[in-house]
Amino acid sequence: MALLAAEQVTLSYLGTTAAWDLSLAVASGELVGVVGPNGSGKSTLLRALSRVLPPQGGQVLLDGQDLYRLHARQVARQVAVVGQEPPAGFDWSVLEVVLMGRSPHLGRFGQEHRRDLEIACQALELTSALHLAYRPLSEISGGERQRALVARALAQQPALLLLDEPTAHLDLNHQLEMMSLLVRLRDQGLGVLAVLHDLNLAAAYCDRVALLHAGRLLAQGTPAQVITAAHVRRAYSMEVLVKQGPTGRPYLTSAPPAPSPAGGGRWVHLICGAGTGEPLMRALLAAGYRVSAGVLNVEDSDQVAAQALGLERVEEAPFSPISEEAHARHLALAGAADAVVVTAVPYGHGNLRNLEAALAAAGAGRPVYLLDQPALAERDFTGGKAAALHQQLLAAGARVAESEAALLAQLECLP
Amino acid sequence: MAAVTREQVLASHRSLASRLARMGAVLVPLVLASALVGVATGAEHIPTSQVLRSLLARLRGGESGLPWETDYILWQVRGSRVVLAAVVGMALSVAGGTFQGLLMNPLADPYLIGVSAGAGAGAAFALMRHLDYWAWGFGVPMFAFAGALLTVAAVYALSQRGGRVSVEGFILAGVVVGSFMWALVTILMSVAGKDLGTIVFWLMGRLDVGEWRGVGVVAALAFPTAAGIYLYAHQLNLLTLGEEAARQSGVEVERLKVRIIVLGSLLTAAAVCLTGIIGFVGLVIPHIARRLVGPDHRVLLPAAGLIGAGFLVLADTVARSAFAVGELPVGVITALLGAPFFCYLLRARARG
Repeated sequence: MALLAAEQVTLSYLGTTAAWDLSLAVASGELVGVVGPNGSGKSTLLRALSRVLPPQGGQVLLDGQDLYRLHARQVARQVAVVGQEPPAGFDWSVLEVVLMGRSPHLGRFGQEHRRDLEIACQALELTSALHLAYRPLSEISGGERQRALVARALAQQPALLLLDEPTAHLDLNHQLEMMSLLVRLRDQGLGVLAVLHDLNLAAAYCDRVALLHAGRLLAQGTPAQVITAAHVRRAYSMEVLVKQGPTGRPYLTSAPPAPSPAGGGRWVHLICGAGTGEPLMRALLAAGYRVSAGVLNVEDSDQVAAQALGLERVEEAPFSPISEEAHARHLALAGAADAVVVTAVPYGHGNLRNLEAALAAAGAGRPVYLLDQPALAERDFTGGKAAALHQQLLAAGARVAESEAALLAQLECLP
Repeated sequence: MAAVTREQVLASHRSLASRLARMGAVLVPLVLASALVGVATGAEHIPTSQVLRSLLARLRGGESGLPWETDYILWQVRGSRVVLAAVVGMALSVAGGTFQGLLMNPLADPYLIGVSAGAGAGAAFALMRHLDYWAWGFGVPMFAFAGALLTVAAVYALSQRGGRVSVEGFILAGVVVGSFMWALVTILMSVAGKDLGTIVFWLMGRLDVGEWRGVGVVAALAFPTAAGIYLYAHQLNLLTLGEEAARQSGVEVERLKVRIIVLGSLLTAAAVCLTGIIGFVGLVIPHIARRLVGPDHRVLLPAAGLIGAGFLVLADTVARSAFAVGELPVGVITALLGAPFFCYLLRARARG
């Protein structure tokens, strides 16, 4: 069951509505990342979850009870927060600050006992900060301070830990250290929710990711479901490549170069497969074309590339022939494009329908280009059926391009 | 850097009670010593041995065997004055330490929020209208006290939005309302005529207003208020890490702020109502205390109170014995000592 849940909350901050209809839950033993561009409402959501910003609509529930009807001390025994940097000026030692984390469990004067000290030491050990115990909080480095503040939150012995950009201002090694600390805490049964700036950190470490955009929840789910080129394009208005890392989690790499005017947003549909299409996808995107592809078998290298690039595409199950249904969708997609390019893909009975789709497009008056290196004869495994369709395509006005460079030149002459 | 082990932390930790005891063991004798110096020093020097003999006699309820004038000077003239200085010094220093914690700014001052200006306006009005003998002789303190509290109430009303007070808003409103009240004081002074002198002297702060009666009233206001603030010492600690952090550690921050504002203003008003505006004590003494005992308000506030008490007793002793004839207002001495020290602190901070 969810420990802390925001249910359709609407949040206002300083008189402006910063988030609409957000629902997000954290359970024990779960590491949830909240990502999104600046101003998307991530930190506002965290404030609402930490009993600082009462929602205008909807509710926040802690263990099924309205968070804002509970006493601050009750909440603090269950939920600890690592927020922004504390104000400087008061020379607290790290140990003193961590001991203050015990306060929701202590009496009015916050008199700490041996057990509280032991808990504080344990928290400092867990964050590898015990050696800093007697250093002033204001005089240690940003990474050390962040660890001290996490130790303070842990000394609260919460069931749930909320963190606002715990990796901000940290060096790469400290970022990774912080994230693996969060994973360890998750493994110990803590519920952890972290607002993160870095999509790759979120993808690599979180069990679930919530992507916010302009105060709304754009997507929520596993990193693979949420961190896709299409979502990133919508949230951040930029092109990225989403690849699959060695652990099966997605990761982002730099965007392709900015579109040059050659493509002018015209739409080229690629009929490809087996890696024959990937260089062309990138070249066309780089030249400013809108690119779609079909029909690609899932896990085919061109399918992986198309997914990483966030292309519109028609897919078929791995190693399966093109079904009637996929073919129909392919006809619609290819028919809507400004031009269709058929790469030098090997043909078997499974993908012969892709040539039929090209023929249909040519029949409908779309310019169709054929890449024929290596020659069709070397890649026709259909007993001549592919060759026959090829002939029909040429008869219907399809043009052969000698090379990709020649093709791009020809495409520039599109109306 | 030396490694720290858990055993070390556990072994070297001192409980709150032991830290308070250590602090008291050092500072209480210093306060008593300064009181001794205070009653011994003056136009007529009274040797320490006689002071102690008189004190012992009082405690035993017997005769000291000293001339009655000596006993009178010790107990009626200097004794009440030294105790008043100690109480006012305590009140200003505790209030200063409290506001520095509340406003999350170690450079805050108990007068920052308009208390002094309000008290000044109230006192100036009472002095001009010759209300000195009003209310059993407490006319001026009463008006000063009321002026101080009304001013803080106005500051609070201006800075709160829907029951919430922002620290920045509170300081800003305090400065603005304070300037307004100072303008009123200036108007009153302009039309005061021959009473101008008494108003100016009140504003500079002085401790020759004694009698045990007045001391009793100030102490009766100051000690319960200071004790009330001490109840929130630990929550003030949490507040210095930021309002949101305090809230997330279980502090009901808005309630805390209102209570601290009310108690801190009462304490400051109690300190200034009888003796006028004695500057720099509330700003500088908490700093010295913080240097000595650290930022923990549970130890810092009592330490500041004790240091403030001793400091004002000594400052007053200097004020009344620096010149053979007449005396300086004690506010002049605290400013003379306080301003250079504050500059030193600022520069030390800039270097640190």
